[in-house]
Amino acid sequence: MAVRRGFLPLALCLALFLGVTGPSAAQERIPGLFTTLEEVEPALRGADTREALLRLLGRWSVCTSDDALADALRQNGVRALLVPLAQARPAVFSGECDLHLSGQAAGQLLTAIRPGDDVDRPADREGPTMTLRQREFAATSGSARIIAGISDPSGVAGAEADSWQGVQRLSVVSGNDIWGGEYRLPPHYRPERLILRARDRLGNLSEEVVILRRLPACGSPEGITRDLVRRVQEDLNAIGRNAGAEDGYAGERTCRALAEHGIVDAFDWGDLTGQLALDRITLKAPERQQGAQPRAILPVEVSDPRGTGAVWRIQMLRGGRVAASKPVGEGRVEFAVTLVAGAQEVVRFRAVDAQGRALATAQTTVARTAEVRLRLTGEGYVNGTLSFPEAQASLRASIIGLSSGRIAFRSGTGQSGSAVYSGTPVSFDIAMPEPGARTTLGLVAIDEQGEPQETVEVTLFRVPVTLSVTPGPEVTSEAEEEELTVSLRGARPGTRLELREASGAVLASSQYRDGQSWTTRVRMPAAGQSRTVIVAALDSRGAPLAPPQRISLVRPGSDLPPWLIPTGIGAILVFGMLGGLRGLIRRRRARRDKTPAPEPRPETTTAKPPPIRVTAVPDDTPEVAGPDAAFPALTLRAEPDMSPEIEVILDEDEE
Amino acid sequence: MSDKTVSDTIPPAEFTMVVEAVKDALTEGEPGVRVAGAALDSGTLQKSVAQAVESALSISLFDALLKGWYGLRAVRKLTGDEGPVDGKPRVAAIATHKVRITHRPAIHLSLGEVADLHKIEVPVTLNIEVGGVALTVTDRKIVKATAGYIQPRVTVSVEKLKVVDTALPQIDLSGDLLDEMQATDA
Repeated sequence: MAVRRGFLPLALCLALFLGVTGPSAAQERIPGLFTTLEEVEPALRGADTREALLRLLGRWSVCTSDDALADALRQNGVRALLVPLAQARPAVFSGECDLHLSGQAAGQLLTAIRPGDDVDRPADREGPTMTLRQREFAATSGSARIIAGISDPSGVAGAEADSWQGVQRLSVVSGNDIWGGEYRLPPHYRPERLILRARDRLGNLSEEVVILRRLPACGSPEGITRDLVRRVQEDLNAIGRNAGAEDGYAGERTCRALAEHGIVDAFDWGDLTGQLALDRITLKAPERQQGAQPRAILPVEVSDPRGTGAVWRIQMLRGGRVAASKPVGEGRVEFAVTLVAGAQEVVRFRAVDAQGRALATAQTTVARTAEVRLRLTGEGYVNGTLSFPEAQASLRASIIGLSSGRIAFRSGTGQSGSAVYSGTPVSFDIAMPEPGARTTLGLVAIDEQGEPQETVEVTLFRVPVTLSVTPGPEVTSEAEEEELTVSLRGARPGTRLELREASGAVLASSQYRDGQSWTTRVRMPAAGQSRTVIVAALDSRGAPLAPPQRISLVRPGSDLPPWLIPTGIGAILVFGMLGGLRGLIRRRRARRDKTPAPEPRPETTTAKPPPIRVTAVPDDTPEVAGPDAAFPALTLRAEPDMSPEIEVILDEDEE
Repeated sequence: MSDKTVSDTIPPAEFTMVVEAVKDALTEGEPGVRVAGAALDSGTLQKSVAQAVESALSISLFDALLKGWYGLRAVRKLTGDEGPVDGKPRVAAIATHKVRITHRPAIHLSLGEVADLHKIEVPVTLNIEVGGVALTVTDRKIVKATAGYIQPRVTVSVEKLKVVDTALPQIDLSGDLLDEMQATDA
């Protein structure tokens, strides 16, 4: 056959393609035959007789690296060139050779063209014999090793495995006919078919099918899927067993976690998921609940993440007996527990299914603290009312039932404050309202968590104090000394009573005793003089409790006033002169009228001036008294100071 | 702030003590003419004395403060004869300070219009703590003032007897005092 040069580029591409692609692409080619001509191989396969074969070969320029073949071809009239195998490709591509034979192809051709072989030796049409010890290869992780015995009289040209992951060559692993290779396990638990192919040196092919399978490291492989394993891993991790990554592969770590959970025997993975779903049901209750109230509400929450619906009721057990039971499938339910003050109890809960089997348990320690009370004491405090006459009162407070905390107060006068309580009573100075007025005082006991535990309201009453002095407010006496009796009402015992001069000097003092009056003696002023003393009641801080009482001490004079005698004399003289003047006037009138001498007047008593009678002796400061009309109006007038003294004191030296 | 006076802010109980003390002083014997109880019956006397005491204690806290502030050098520099007259506002700030004012009002008891029977001095001492003040002066006149608070303490004596010594409620002066000032200046 003439070489068709026009097909050279196409043939070259085909040859390159055949050369670089794997054995599967060249499986129909005659091993050892290399050519760019398409019709070579079918023609060679179709030549049934030696003569036909030699005729075919005689059409081409045949190259070979086999000396014996080259000689045999030349002896049979075929143009044969001896070209080393390394130069076969350039020789064919350059057109120097139409085909190049080597290896298996050269051997077969040499056998075929030897004279007399056509009758005695039938052509080998069988592929290699494959012997398999097992049809299924399995492993729990990684890859599985495939081993097969492959043999053929003409020799095994090669073997390969075709699987989901492509074609992979087998290699001789022992002797000449034990072939094998490592195959990655499938990413699931289904059996995978693997086709083993072997070809002898004559190009005959044989195939065998084996199974490659991934197995779990524990449990039954039947029915297992990655989803099942992944769910088991999730459940194990959720209940605190370390199953590792949730990848769906049942490896050593997953099986160790199952063993820790008590699952060691052969088990079915499908059943396992159901059991673990129940194991994931949890009850959640507060670890401890403490309060002062007698009734405690305990919230219990049931969680069923796989939605099994197996929980039928939640039971509360006290003292080992079911004290309460509530139907709930999932979610929150509350139980009430009543305790006496100071008691503590462990209350248990369990979630049960319809058969009464406990699926999950929880427990809470419930404690009731002793009752918190505010105890108040103080002078004048009785039954929630603090009655005190002074402007400031003292109130002591302590918290019964708490060892520490805080006490805060706020009163209606706007006063507020707080103090830390550490077991000893706390004293507060409370501002009292105006005398006679009432207001309220609220006190709160606060625990260390800042929660108010007890509130008490106290009524503050400022007792009005009245101070009275008898006799008074003016004492008039001629005695050297007089007694003053001071009575106090509303004051507390111990209140200081003082008798002072107007200048402030203290003349006498005493302390008020409950219900008793104080009698003191005071020296009267000199005769005809007066002075003022002040009686005051002072509270414990020295402030006046009631308006001070001013007592005027008046001592009348014993002598006649100096103006009385001249006035009397003057009056006598005036009346005498008036009598003389009246007689003189009468005589002159009688003489002027020349009237007869008057009849002798009957003997009468000579008229005398009225007598002066001193009924009282006024003192130096006489009282001016009389009918209102006789006196001009008394007026009180305030005169402001138009030039006050002003002094500015700066904190910093600005001036 | 309304212009508060001592008589406005003094507690009623303290005011009553002053009235009682003045009343006692009026009826107390003095050389000369003494007024008998008949002339001034208790009701009339109480009312009259209360009115007189209220009048005597009508001492404006703010007026007293203003007089004190005008005396300060920082303010005087702006309001005195040497103060600038350029229409620009200037602020004189005074830190927390105290003003002590002593008034000596008197209450006269007169018989008609001729005879002055009795004169009773009622000295009033005010100690006022001022929590900072800022005065704005324009053309030598205080046109604006703001202050924090004032805490007055008042002492009232009748003659020489101290009758009241008490702290008055704190007065918040956080607002603008311009109105009161203008009224006082006028």
